[in-house]
Amino acid sequence: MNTFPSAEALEHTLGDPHLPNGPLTYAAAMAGDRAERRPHASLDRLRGWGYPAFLVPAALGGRLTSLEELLALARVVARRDPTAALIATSPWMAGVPVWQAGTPAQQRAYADAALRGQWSALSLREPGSHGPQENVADTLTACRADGGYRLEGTATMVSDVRMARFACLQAREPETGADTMLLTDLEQLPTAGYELLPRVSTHGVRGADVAGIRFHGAFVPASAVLGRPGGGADLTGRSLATIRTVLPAFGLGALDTGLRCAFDFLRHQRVHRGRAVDLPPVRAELAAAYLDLRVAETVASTCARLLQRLPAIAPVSSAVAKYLVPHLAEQRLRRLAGVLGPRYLLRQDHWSGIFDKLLRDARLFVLLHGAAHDMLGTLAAQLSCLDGPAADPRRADPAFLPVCVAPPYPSGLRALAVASGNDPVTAALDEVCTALRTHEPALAGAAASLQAEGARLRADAREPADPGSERGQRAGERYARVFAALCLARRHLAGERLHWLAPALTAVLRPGTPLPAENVESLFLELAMEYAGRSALSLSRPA
Amino acid sequence: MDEAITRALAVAAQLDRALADPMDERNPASFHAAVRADRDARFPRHLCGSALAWGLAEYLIPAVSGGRLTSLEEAFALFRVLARRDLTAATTIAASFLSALPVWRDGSQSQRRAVAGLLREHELMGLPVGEAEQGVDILAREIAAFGDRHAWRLDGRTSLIDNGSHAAGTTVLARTGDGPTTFLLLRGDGEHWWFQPAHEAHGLRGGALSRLTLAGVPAGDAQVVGGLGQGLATAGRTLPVARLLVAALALGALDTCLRAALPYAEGTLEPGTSRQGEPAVAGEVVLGRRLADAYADLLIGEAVCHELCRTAREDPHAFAAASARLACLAAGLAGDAVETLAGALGGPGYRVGIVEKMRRDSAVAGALADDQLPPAVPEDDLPPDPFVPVPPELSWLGPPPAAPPPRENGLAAAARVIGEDGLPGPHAPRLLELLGFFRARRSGCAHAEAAAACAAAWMRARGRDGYHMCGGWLLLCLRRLAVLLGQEQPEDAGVRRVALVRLRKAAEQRRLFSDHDVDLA
Repeated sequence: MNTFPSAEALEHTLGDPHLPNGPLTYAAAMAGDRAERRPHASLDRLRGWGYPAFLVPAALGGRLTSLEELLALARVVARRDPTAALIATSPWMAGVPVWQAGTPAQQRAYADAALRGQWSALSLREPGSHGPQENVADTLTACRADGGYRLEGTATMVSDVRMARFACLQAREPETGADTMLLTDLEQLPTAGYELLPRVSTHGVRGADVAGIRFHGAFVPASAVLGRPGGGADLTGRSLATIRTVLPAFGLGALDTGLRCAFDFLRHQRVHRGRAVDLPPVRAELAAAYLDLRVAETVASTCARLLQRLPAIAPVSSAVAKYLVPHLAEQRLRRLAGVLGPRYLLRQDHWSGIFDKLLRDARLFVLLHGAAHDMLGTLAAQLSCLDGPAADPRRADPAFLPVCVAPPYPSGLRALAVASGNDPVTAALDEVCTALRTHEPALAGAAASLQAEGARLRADAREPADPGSERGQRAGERYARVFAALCLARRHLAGERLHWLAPALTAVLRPGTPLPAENVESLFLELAMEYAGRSALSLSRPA
Repeated sequence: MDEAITRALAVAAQLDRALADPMDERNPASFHAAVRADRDARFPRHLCGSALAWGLAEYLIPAVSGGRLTSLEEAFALFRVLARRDLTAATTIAASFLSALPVWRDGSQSQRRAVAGLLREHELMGLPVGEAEQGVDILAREIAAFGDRHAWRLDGRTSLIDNGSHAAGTTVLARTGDGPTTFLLLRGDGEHWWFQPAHEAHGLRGGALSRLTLAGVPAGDAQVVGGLGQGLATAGRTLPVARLLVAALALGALDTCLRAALPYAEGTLEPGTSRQGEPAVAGEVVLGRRLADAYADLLIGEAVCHELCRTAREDPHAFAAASARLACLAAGLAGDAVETLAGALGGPGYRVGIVEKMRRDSAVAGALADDQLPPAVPEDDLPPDPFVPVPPELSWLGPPPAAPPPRENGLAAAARVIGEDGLPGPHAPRLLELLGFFRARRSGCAHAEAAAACAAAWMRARGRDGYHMCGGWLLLCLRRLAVLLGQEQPEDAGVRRVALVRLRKAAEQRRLFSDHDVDLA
């Protein structure tokens, strides 16, 4: 597995999150959450450390070369406060269309602002995603005017519009019906041309300033267009593939701390016969949660590598990462909450009550930039790439090596497509199953499950279903799970030796299947040892 | 048709109508007011006051003690309907009801008079739910009674569900030399007990939870409820009712979440009727499916809980065990459905509002019946159960029948009727298949018992309308339970579509989402 000294250094700098106050402690996270206050001190601390440099590509003066590294950094912060992590990383997210399609001047201006610690906001109308969770109130239009556009209507921002220097906006051109992406410099815009809408209070991530912006004929020059006019939908699709690949960091961080917190609570909780953690079902839940965390982090890091090594597969891999990882984190936190019982929600003195916040925050990451059904629909719509001529599985090999070196971000990402033509990860299905069966008899059962699910997936590909239908959604989910299972198996076969691979494949392919007793004990002990230990950037990090 | 259920729902409907339209923001008993109070961490005094003034206070007192409560069904229906508006208010009043239960069952005449008087003045009792590590303190580890048999001093600390540290009384379980004993404490002893600031909580933020410290509270025989050392049995009789009420609260919350989510799935009901006037889009289709499933969860939960009420009445020996299995299932189904709907709603479910509040509150309301055991613990692993066997005198508020009437298993009865008489429409073969599937499950399978409860409910209602006559209602419920047991979700959109149409019709006609016709405000 790649290790990132920067992430270790950040963790070391941030210190003990159990301190009674101070930036990026649990107490500070909870205080900010309670007051619905932006975590200024935590963000200042991150800026002081140099976090903004990791949001800007190295070619533009920053330090960002690897999305896997950004994933690790964002996870370090999210383990302490997912809200702070989301806000701190938002200049990168809002900048993705700029890195992808901006002119050199746009990129320079944006990079300079981000490096200075200025904020930006992003509003995307997500292609193919419809329904109540989308920005149905977004009515932003851009009418062509002399030398530019006049903006009218409303855009709902995810966060930071009040603090933003730049706003990256997707607006519809009424004349053509096409969308255009605009990089709007709010400092250059007359204040009479727009108004900031009242803040929206939310279930979690309460410190983030979620609000909209309403334009009243504001003029933006043609130089603000990102990419080509009318190419906004395409650019959004390509940008989302990148954003969705890094978003899992926040869910991972939440699950990481949530699991530690639950483990600590349960090992002290007395039940009728002794410690709660000694009850077999409780051990099984904790072991399963630990396994899920391991699975989630491996899938997330593999998808980040794939994006840079093999951008053509990104429309699939990003949907897998965005669907599976935040979903797994949220579901697992909910199950842990069930093990803790309703009173976990009443405690404010155990780890400052952070579990409650983690659960609420994690729910946003399931919705943000692509709800589950959208991701499943996206995958179902791309199943045809499994039905054509087989891709060469070796093209994906470099992404599975223990140490993966990729071209520096964002070079090569202009080749990102909105749909995959073929899938070299899944193309290795038969080969992987054979290798598992031949070389490791202990994995024969898991290999058979993988083979069987793969066969069903190919059948799904031969009979495409409406992505929104029950069958389409089921096929999308199968695609996500088989793809994730292959990521794990290929990492293992490439030399990473995932000793938990057999139960992991079962957990991914047949969610809800109870862990075998022997796996429960070994995983539980590993969790306990890592909790007590101090190895870097694993679950055992002091937290 | 079960008369006790019909009567109970009629009473609950009166309460709802008295509280007026919850969508009207000017109404102090509205969703808007509930959300505002929650945001300010304020106890919803107005809603509680209005409900008690309507007469809810009298329904907290059994008819045999001078009140108006005649059945467990009434308590279930009233708390369910109140929970639709605000779980903070409903949970607090339910806590008061549960705290008083030992007095109605085992208390002296003077204790009953005292508690009834207190409730009639619209004061509330607090329910001890134990410190975080303990759960409901059925072993009396938190509070100790020192002294001799007639003059004790009570010391200890516990957490109470109450109306924000203003409980007028409580029943606590305290350790004595004779074993755990229940004491009734009223505020007159106030100088020896005090409240600490309320806990902050994930839900029920209106100050519904506080910490009570007892420091040498004097207690004599007059404060003992039931016999010395009988506290464990007393608590054991309360917990099954608490579980049932937790399910009632969850069903109330689900009703509101369904109602709030329904407009977002309009396009799935009639193509071309979505908000933008366009055909249903992917998100709406998915939400429509979630709505239909959640509606099925609600109907299952209702059937299960009504069956539990019947069990409490007709076969009290079986009530405690059945409640542990089935009320938890019903509450869990409804709680999961609230979660699923909130998630499927996306932004509208994540923004602060009544759905978001219900989502948080329903997670915490389970503390009423939190027996501290992780839900994953299988029955074989449970500690020695203090709740069984249940002596026959524990029949719900009345003498039990001499011998419980024989009850045919609902699954067998439904299969017999369908097999012999057939059904109009196409559902009979699938229903027979599902009935067979559940009958083949091992004894003790909660989902199969829930299926039996649904089948029994359908048997009583099958002549009511076309939807029941053709078996559509039963198919919706059994199919859902089978999916929860791992069967693949079938494609037949027709069953869900009919469910959605019925759901919308009930919403338009302002009826409770229920298998019964209950007109709301």
